[in-house]
Amino acid sequence: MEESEIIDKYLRGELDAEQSEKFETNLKSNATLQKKVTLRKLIIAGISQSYTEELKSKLADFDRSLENKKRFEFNWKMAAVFAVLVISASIFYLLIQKSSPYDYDIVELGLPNSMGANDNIDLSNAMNTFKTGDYEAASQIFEELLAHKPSSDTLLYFSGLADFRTKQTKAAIQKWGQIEATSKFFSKTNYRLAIAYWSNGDEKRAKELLQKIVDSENDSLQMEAKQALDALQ
Amino acid sequence: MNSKTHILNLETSAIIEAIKAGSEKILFQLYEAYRDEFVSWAIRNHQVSIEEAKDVFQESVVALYKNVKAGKADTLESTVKTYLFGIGKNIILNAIKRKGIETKAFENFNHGHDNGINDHYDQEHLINLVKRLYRAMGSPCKEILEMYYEKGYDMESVASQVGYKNADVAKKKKYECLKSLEERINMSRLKDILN
Repeated sequence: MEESEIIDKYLRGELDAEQSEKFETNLKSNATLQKKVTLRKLIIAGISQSYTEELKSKLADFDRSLENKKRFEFNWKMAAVFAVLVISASIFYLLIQKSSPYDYDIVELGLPNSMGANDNIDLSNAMNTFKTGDYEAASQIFEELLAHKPSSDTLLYFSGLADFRTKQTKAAIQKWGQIEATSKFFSKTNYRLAIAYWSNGDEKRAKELLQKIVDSENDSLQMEAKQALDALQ
Repeated sequence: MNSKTHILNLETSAIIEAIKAGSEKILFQLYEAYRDEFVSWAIRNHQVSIEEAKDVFQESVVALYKNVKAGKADTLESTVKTYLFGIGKNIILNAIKRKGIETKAFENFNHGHDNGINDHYDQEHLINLVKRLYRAMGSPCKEILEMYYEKGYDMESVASQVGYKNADVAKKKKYECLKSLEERINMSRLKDILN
């Protein structure tokens, strides 16, 4: 065994009793060996100090990683709680929210203006007023025109629509109900009538009418009718 | 299983043995398991800041490690947690005491004088110089010397950790590393101090 190894074993307590005694005897009288042992002890102390300082530093780093982990877990938990709240609120909102029949009102562009006879001038005025969105005023003008031409499908349709949009649903139903199947407004009127029934609280008739539109082969409002029906159900 | 559950399931002697065997992992598990409790306790009982409390606890874990390595915890009858908290308490009390002494020393600055560098300072100074030279060593010397001298690994364990074929290869490398460090010391100003 080399001297360097013996020093290590002596300092680690790995020499047997006889070897240890021999080494200590030699150590007492050998100044060079004493210096070597002192140096080895110093090296061991230096390594130990370096290690404990590094350990302290590693623990500080570990502490920071724990803080980050905690912060992440907290943020994650907060995000989860927030997500649950948002989802719950959304579900609750969807559950309590009832579709409004007015959400299913379809766009009506009105008729193009046609100048000529007095009747046409009046209709044009009424149509212009309707197009501006002033349904109250339009309703009155259509009503006056309707007094002169009570069976005009155009007047019945637009007057009914002005009524519907000013929440006079019963009046609208009454007017639309008079439009015959041969009228060019019949298809739109049927759909509008269903929505008016719905708005008036008669969901049964609304559903029946919408179902008819959905089942019909050539109705251009099939898709709208299906959506309204789904909302009603 | 989290750190605390793991640590709570271990006997004190098992923890001590693991530390002695050079397990750093168990020290980190102890730190994680008892840090929050220690910090709360230190803040409540000694009016220290969170950062100071954490610093003290880190010192406590290092002190626990040193004590275990020095064999001072071999006959430990309390739990490691109690021992760790006891160390922490002593560190805080010593710091408070030291602070008082330092304040007093500052107040008496003009009246007193220093007797110069004492033996303890000399020793500390030498260790610091050796530490610096050791730290300047590259891999794998630094790791090999740390494993052998600090963690107490035998040469088989060193070989397996570093990836050497056998203990003889590790032993040869350790000898070369040690020789290199001794040469660095002999070339430094430590040579004169040591001789």
